Amino acid sequence: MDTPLPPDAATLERRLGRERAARREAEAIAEQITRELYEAVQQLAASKAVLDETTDFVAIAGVEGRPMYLNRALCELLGVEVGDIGQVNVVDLLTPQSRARYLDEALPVLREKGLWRGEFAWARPRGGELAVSQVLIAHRRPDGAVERVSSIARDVTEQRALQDQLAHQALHDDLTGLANRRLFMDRLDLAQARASRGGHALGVLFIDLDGFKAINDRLGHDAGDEVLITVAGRLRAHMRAADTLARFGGDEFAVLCGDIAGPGDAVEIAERLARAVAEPFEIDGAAVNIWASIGIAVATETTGSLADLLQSADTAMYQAKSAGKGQWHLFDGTGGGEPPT
Amino acid sequence: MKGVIFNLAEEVIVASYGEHTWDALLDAAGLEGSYTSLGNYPDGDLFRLVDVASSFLGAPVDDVVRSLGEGALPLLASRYPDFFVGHASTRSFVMTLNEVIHSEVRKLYPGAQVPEFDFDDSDPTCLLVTYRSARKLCALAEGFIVGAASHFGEQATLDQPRCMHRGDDHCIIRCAFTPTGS
Repeated sequence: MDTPLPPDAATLERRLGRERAARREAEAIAEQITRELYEAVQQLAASKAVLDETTDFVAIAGVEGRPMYLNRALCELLGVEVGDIGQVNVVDLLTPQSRARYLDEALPVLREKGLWRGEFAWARPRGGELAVSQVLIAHRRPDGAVERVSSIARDVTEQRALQDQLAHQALHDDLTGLANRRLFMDRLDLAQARASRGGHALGVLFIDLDGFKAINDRLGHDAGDEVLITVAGRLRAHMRAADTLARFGGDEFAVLCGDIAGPGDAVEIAERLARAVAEPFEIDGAAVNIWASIGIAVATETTGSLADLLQSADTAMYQAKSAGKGQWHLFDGTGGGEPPT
Repeated sequence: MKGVIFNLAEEVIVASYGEHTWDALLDAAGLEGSYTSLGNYPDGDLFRLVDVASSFLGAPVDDVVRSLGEGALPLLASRYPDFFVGHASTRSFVMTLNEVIHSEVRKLYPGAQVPEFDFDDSDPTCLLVTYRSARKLCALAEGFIVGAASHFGEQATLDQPRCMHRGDDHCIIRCAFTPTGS
């Protein structure tokens, strides 16, 4: 190109003008960045205050569990100082079972979707476990690999215990602690499926107490409750461990006998239960005599629905009752049936 | 386009042709020329400068752009030496473009729109670099690669089996590197 010449005054003036303009713009950019930085620092301070005060456990860590950040609640749980998290591994917080689920379930989802929500069990460093509802968020490197994981965990131990208690209450009888009708029906459903696969029979015993109303009238409801509790205990003690005993309400009980060879087994169980209930006992010094009328129905290939099976056991129970106290009757499909023993 | 690119262009021009040439280019292109590295300026400004330089030098536009990249690389190497240390060859350095270099560029120059590269290093004798950018500045990428090769004491032989300027939807820059003097 052209040979260098000393610049004239006008050229120098223009260069100076350019330099000034560039400087003004640089200053404006610096001001803008300073303002943004100030706002970011303010926001960071506010976020830090929130993270410090929340009772949720917050961590930012590598995939393998080495933390970059733990909030105060988590430091307190772990018993470490906020500034001294070097030796912590947050994956070690998980119980062995939860750790396996983290590796097998959560991590693949996290890698694919960037987010995982679920529940884990944590082992408290000083013993005991806590149930946590946890959200994991993946932070990726530019090449897409997950570099860090943010975790927000909430202690739901009490909530879980309450839910378990409610679930138990929904399926059990308050007074005796036995299964209720709902749980019985559920078990019956399962037992039928198993029986049809396994080729063995399924029996249902319907039990209605004889003489219960008289006790209730004579000794009061508290005594009546005690009788029901005692009867429940005796039935439980004399039935097979794998069978289900339920209280259907009032003085009605039912037993589900899975895996029986045939009606003979069901009859044998019924006889045993009837004898156990009939043993006299005392309540508040008063002698109490009570008996069980038991209707037996055994499901066969020709038995229709489970409702039919229960209806058959109910019918058989009324037939037993009409034959006197403490009798059993095996439903024979005709409504007449065998004579009680 | 970030001001830093204009600053690099200015430094390259001034170093080779003197300050008056930069003045003359700005005048001919009708540009103010007050570029601040962090500022944002129209892409058209750079294309106008390059067009004017092309007619001043009597050289094709792509050659001007390529020399700009080649001349700017030593400036970048002295300004950002960390990106260069730890690499023994141009090949390994070039392959860090997306993940290291441009990810850092985004931090230093917020809002910077950087091109996307893909690498095929299956052939040990040549590296295939796919370039995608609306600016179609594949020649600038070529210049940077040639400049990087000089930095690592290598000679770069480049060609483009595909180019957006020839109607392809992306460019492929085929690079072979050989040690200088062998």
